[in-house]
Amino acid sequence: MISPSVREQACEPELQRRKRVVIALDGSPAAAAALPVARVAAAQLGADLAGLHVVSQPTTEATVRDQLQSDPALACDVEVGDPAAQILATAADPKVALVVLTTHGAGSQELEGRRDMANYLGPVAETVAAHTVRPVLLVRPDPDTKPQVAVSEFRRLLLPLDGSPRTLQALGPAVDIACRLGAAIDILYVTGPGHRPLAERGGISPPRYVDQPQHEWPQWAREVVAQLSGCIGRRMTDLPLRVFHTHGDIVDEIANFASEHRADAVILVRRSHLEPGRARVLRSVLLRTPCPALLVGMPASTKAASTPP
Amino acid sequence: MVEQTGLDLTVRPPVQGLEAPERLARPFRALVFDWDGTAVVNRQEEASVLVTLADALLQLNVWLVIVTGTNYGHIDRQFCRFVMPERRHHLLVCTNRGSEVFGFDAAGRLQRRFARTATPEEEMALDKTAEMVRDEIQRETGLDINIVYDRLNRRKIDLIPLPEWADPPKSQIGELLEAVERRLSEAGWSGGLGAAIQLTEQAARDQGLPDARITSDVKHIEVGLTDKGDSVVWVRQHLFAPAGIATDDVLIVGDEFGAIGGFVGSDDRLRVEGGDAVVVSVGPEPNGVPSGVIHLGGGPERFRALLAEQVWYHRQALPAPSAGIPAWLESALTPPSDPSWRLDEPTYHPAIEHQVESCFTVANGAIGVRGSLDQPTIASAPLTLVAGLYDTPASPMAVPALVPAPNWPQWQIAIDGQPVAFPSEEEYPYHRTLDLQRGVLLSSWTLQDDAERRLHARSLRFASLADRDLVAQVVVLTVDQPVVVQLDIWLETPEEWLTLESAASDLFVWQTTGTGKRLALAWTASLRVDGVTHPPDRRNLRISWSWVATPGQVAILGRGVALARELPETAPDPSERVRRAIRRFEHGGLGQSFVNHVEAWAKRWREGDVVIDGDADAQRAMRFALYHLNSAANPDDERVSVGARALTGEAYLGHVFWDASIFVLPYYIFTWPAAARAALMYRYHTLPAAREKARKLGYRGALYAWESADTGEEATPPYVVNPAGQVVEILNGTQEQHISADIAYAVWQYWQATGDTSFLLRAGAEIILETARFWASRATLEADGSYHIRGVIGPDEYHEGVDDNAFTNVMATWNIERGLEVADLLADRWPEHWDDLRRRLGLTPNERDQWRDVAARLTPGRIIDGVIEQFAGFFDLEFIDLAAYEPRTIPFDVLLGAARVQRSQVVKQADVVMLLALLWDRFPPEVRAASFDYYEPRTGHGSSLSPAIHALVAARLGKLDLAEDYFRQTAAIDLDDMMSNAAMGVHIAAQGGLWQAAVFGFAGLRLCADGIALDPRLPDSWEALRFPLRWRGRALHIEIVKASQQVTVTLHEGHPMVIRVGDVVGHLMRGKAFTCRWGAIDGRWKEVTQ
Repeated sequence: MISPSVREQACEPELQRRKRVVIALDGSPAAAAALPVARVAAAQLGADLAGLHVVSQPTTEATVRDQLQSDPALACDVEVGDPAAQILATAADPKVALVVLTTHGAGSQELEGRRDMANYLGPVAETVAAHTVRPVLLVRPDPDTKPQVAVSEFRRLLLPLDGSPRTLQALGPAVDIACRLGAAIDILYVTGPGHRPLAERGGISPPRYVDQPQHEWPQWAREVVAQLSGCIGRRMTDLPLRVFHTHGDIVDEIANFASEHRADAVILVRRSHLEPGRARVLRSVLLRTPCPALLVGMPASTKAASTPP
Repeated sequence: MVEQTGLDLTVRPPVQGLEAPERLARPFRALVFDWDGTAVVNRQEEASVLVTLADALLQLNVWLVIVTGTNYGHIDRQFCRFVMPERRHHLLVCTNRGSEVFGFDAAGRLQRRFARTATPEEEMALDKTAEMVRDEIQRETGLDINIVYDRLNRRKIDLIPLPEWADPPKSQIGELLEAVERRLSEAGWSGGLGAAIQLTEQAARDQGLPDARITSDVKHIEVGLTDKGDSVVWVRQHLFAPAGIATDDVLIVGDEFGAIGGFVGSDDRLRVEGGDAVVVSVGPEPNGVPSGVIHLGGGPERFRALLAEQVWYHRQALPAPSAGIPAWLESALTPPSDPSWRLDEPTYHPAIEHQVESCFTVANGAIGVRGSLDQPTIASAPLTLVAGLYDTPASPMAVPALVPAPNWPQWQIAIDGQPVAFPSEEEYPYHRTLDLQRGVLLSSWTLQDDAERRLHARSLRFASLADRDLVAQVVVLTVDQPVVVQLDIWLETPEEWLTLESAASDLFVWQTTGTGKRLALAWTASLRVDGVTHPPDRRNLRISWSWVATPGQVAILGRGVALARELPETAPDPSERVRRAIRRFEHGGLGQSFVNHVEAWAKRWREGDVVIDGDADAQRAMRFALYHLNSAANPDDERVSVGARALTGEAYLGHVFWDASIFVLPYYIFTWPAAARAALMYRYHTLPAAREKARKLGYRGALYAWESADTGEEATPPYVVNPAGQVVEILNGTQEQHISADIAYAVWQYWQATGDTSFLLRAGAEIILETARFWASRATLEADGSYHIRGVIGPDEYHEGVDDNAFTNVMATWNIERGLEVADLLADRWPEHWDDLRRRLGLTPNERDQWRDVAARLTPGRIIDGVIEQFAGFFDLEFIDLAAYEPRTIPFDVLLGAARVQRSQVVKQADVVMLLALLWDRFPPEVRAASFDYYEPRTGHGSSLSPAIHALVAARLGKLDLAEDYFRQTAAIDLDDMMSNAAMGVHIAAQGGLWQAAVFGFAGLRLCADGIALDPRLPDSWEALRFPLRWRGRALHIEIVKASQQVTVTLHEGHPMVIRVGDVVGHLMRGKAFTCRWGAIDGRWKEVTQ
């Protein structure tokens, strides 16, 4: 944990102005199961938690309360229209720091029992995750609608890296959130079989020449942090960071590391609109990791978009 | 308010105290000058000063025309080849007494511009003229008169072919004249030299050569078809006239204008069509000079002074390309055009910034300054290091580390009170050029504030190679709109490491936080706006200036910083040292400091450059390597050596490994012996710690630290947290003991290459004896009757705790053998020294007998089918096909796991191959070939040290494609940074390895007892390889040209020596070229020296 003073110094001022965590609720037990996680996140971020319920046509407050069966103390906005579009519109508000979603809400009940790569997200979560500019915390409920792990506090976040500059540059919001949460970050660099040197200039690679490991690895770890600092434009030397490197199947390594090191969330970077056939690693990690996933980053072409095309 | 003080930004006239006639006190656009006696004393003279001056004049677009009677080869070997190729375009060499004119194209390649070709009839007439003269004089006097026939378009009649007058220097022309006249008259020749010349004129006319040129240097009478005047005429007509160079733009310099023997001096021909040209003689001129010739005298030394004055006049006369920028500064800010001399990074990119900083470091062996931005961002890791300043943090298991000095090159600008910087997390146009030739970092960029007001900055930074306590910086600022500018410079203390002890206005002293060592810094800075110095606002560690800037106005910030660490025994307080350094800087001026620095670099390049024709990438990589090698050493400091990343980064904590002795040192030994000696003296000064380490481990003698800092105590970190998060014990500090033999090897190599007796007696012998003593105590006699060394790590660090590592055992044996040899040598040649040393070390005859026994019976390990076994049991380990894992980005111990690698035949780096490279002649050819073929595919190259040694050995074995591939891998380690660790500093050992791959590998250089041996094999893409070399006080130049299949070795300085090229053994004479050609038919080298 880092001290509040350090936190204030290290955190992005813009984030300090974003004071809302929005959780999308649809009345399904799965969506409601994400609520405890959202409460923890909001509390640690020092933000207000707001519910968002989208209905297809105007209805009464009593009906909504009946549908949601949620905590009456939870402030909940009700919007009329397409759920994904309304969540995206709400998330576009700069005051929103984080959107919390369950991976499979009411609209994806028919997918129960066949959650594979193609269906790692329900339709609403998929659309929102693909297009929002805000960080999204995805909570995957297990079949009896419990979140996969009980998160009482976000203490340790797992940040897998592929070392590419685009990934590095997308990590600013994730570091902001980790900073505000007061969570430590474990950076995990995974090289898979047949790993090639990065084509993009400025990426991070593990050293091929390790002349003396007693110097090379600590220095490499410092260099990873420094390079990340440079790419996101803020110093990370005061944050509790550890850097790891493993070799093997990327998804296996991330999932195993998350389990072994008790990660409270895994940070994943979007590099596409999650079109079919793309984001294989991201989808697989979502399926395999036992903890919520914090989705950050945005393909450059849609950086300014806040609603689906 | 302004004041007319501050740093002097001009270059002073380089010659003081010489009164030059007024007619010389201006810049000339062309200098036409004689060679022997004028430019050089003789053709054996080392001409580096002359080259430096010529380089400077050529860079200023001054034409230099050498007019000589000799052939081009002589001038080339002494001069032309050392002139920077890109500057040769205005250099002309008129040879063979007016018969040829050579010039150079834009790339510096030689071109023959003019040649006079004699007809067969003319050749015959020349012969007959000379023979007629000889016969007539002989008939009259009976004297022995010789004819030199093999000269282009001329013949020489030697009037005094006596040994004592074989090669008379120009300075003895008076004595020579007397001797010739006496010889002729005593033999009955009336009229002396004048009559002989008249006879020659008549004979030439009789042979149908009415326009024959008759000249005399007193010893000879020359009859030819051309003289120096013919080439001068050609140059004027074909080059000067088109360039608009009038005769009064030309300065003619010679040493023989006055009449000799009643005949005009040989250089008087230079005055043909002289017109208004200014003519100067620097010769003794015993009979005076003709009217119009300025007689200065002073010989070549005065000639060099003339050139220096011309440099100064030209620099003064140059129109400033930008208003307010001195000419020297504009020139200084201009990088070389040749891409092999520069490294460019046009854009700031946060993700690669650290790598750029490492590669673009400027350093001088005492101070290193990373190539960080002048305005560092969050992605920057600016760092200034002072060699030898180590500190050990007060924490358990901490090891000493090189301390970051206060950062100094940064500055900040504010426009109308608002700080201006560029976005740190985005790419931004910021052009950096590392000028390898001059050792300067040049930067150029534009800042823009929110109101779109732009400020353009150009800066240069250097660590003075001429004054190693100094680093300096110049920043040139211009604006595009009138604004109020505030400029701040400051010193940034790394408070984790340093505590300020005292602060005066310009002098600060810090103490390291752990052990209280002192570091002193003195600085001076000035700001000039359009030539007027502005007063600074000084506040402790910060200096500020404010002024109203307008478009077209130039502001120049000049800053000099002196840094020095305490030297416990000689200078515990370094304050005075930095104060003196800053005084020197202020007294000479920034411009002069820069010129001195550039000249020091020019000297290093003359003595250590390697030229590779045909492969631009290899050439650039080589220059990059040599730049960093020359930046890393300090011949004046015996208390430091070269750390694993030199002074380019904080990685490896500045620790000194075996890299310094085996990979880096050879370049210094063969090109810069003073730097090599200082680095070896560091090992001598750390010998007590090496003895103590051996003692603690239960051995005798000296076991050097695997990682060494200032004291030489073991500085290897005992543990590391590996990337998987596991704590791993580091065994190198106790098990990697081959370093003692490596250091002994370096000492011996230095001694063999330099013959530096004073070093051997003062330090070298003791190191060799004490390391030999260690090995003799380290080896244990076992039941099999052999000595064994168990539980070590060889160069292949994937295998720990192995027994009888071949590299270790053979090097240990070699070390003991050298110990015995040194003992015998000292006893034989310096018995008093030997008695003293023997007593001091307690070395008894019995102990030496034990050494002999160990050397004879220490097992070298198994050799099966010609393959040396790397260590006992290696052949039984699992074979892993490494090629199946390519391409890969990570080392094999990560890929496969450390445990499996330890059980396998995967080799981290050259081990047996390293042994072959070091002790090549110790193994028969079949063992070398078989061992390399066996280990090469088993080597994972997990160390940056590995590819270069594979390149070296592959080249020697004739596997040229493979060698070239490894050469390129070595070159890419830092330049391409494909493996992401150049950010932590340049791999200096790999750079040293690159030089070795070229010189020891492709040129096949090896040391012999009486000289050197070459066995050249160039890779496909290389057309030629050229490099200078020093051997036992001699200066050599080696040229290998593929097209002609020739090797030419020239001895420029020093006594004759033996040279071997393949099987050919020759004797090198000073000033003479030794040439061998490869015979494709019989596959052998043959001497073809002409």
